[in-house]
Amino acid sequence: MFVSMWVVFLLSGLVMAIVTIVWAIRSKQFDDQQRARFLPLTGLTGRELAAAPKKRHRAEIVGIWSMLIIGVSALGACLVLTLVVY
Amino acid sequence: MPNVVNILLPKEPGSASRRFFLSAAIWLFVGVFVALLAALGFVAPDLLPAHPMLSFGRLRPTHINIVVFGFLLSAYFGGFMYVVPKVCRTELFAERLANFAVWFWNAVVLGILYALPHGYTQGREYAENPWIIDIAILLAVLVLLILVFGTIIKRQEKLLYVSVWYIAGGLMWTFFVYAVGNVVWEPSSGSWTGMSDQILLWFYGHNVVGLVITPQAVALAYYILPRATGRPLYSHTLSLVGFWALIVMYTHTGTHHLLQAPVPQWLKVISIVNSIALLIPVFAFLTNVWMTARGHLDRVFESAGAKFVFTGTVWYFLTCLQGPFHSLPAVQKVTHFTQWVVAHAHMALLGFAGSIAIGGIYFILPQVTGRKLYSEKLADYHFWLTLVGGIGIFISLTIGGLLQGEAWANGEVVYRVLSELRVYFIVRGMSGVLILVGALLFIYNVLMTLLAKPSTAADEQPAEAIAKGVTA
Repeated sequence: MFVSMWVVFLLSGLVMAIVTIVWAIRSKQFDDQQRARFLPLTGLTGRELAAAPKKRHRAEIVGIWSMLIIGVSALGACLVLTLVVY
Repeated sequence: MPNVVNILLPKEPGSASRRFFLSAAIWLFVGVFVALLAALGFVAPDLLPAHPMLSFGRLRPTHINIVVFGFLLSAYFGGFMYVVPKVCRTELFAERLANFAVWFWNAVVLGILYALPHGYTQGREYAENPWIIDIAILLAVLVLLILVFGTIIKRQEKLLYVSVWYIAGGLMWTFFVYAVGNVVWEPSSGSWTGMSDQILLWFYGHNVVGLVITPQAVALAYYILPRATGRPLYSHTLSLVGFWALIVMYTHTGTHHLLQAPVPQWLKVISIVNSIALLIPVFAFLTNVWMTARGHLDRVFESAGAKFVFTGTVWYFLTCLQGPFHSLPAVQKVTHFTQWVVAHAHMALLGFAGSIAIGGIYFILPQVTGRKLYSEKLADYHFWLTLVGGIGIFISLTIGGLLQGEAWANGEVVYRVLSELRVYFIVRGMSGVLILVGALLFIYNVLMTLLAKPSTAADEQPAEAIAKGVTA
């Protein structure tokens, strides 16, 4: 029961993925990738696109860098403990 | 009577998005409040009355399910109801149906809030919801699928932007992952037996993050960051490579939660290899959005919404750097069952998914209301409260987890380690208070934005200009 259910589930996923890719190729979804890059900018004026920031945001940059350093350090400590010590 | 219908199920574009956003803000507060009650139990076990509803075994699943279904998914659904029509250059398919989805979804979340604290549970970690709620969630997802595909079919734009791929794909995965993971064809138990059930359970548990939440969060980031910077996406091709890689790599990672269990070795190997290979879609996404924002971070930080979203991507980087290493047996030997894993989960759901959900609301709300955000300053306070609170939770639980793992590896018993963890539990609780205060500010800001009347000249500007603080 388990294996047969799993195989059916996997095959149905595979079939859906193949059907989607075939549809995408036939409807030329992958042809104009350069234009697709601009789709989220629809409706913005030239002035809005070129708007300069009102100020520098150093606090946010420091905050996010701190988070990054803490996160990477935590992973480093974990790897030292698990792969070197034990 | 027609008035009641128009009030409950209006046709006005953006109305369903607005209601989903308000729901998400309220459910964030509820979910965090429940979490704080659970965290209090670790700091002062005798503080709360000994009521079953306040026991950790009921508070934890309530917290998780309210945050996932009430907060995160409500925010994402509100987001896609704006983003999909926008990049498809059309209107949302059936706004009334979308408003029905809002009411139905909130009824489902209310059902969760009633059932789990009262002990109506299927007792499977992350898949606790009773069968009737499982079915209601699947029906709601079907309605949302109709909305997305209906909008795609009537689109004016031939090309599908990557956000639409992720949103449509994510909703389809949500349906199948939820149905299979919750074993909905077994109404009496919602489960199988033995290891087969555990494999299904972790297929669900891990894919809730990877195939239900991540695609929706990534979709929002792919829309918001180019728009906030005024720059086109760095590479649409790369974004599609990431999308298809996610499909291939993610489905079978769940078994890495069962490396110490008697699961077939080949399945463990697949789960570990796929977990490491996940770095491909992850870095495809991160490279893309960071290269888009490169040199324009000050414009990103100008908008409260984009600031949250960008921070979410950095949390995503950290989460996905940790994740593959967790799947290594040598690492799990120390970290498994410890607070380290809880830290990782908060980094993923609060840091990554939560930040992008909040950012999505702050960014899109002015666009669906046609008004400026009520207070950028309050949003800024919310940002710092969430960032500091998130880091506090992450640091305290990470250190606590490593202490636990190290002590257990040395043969120390569980209860003797608990006293060493107390200070970290206190820091975790205090960090939770910061996040709760932020959630209150969030509700107030969202509510006041919704209630404000568009009376000034600024309010009549194009909504997208208002969202970025640009005046005409």
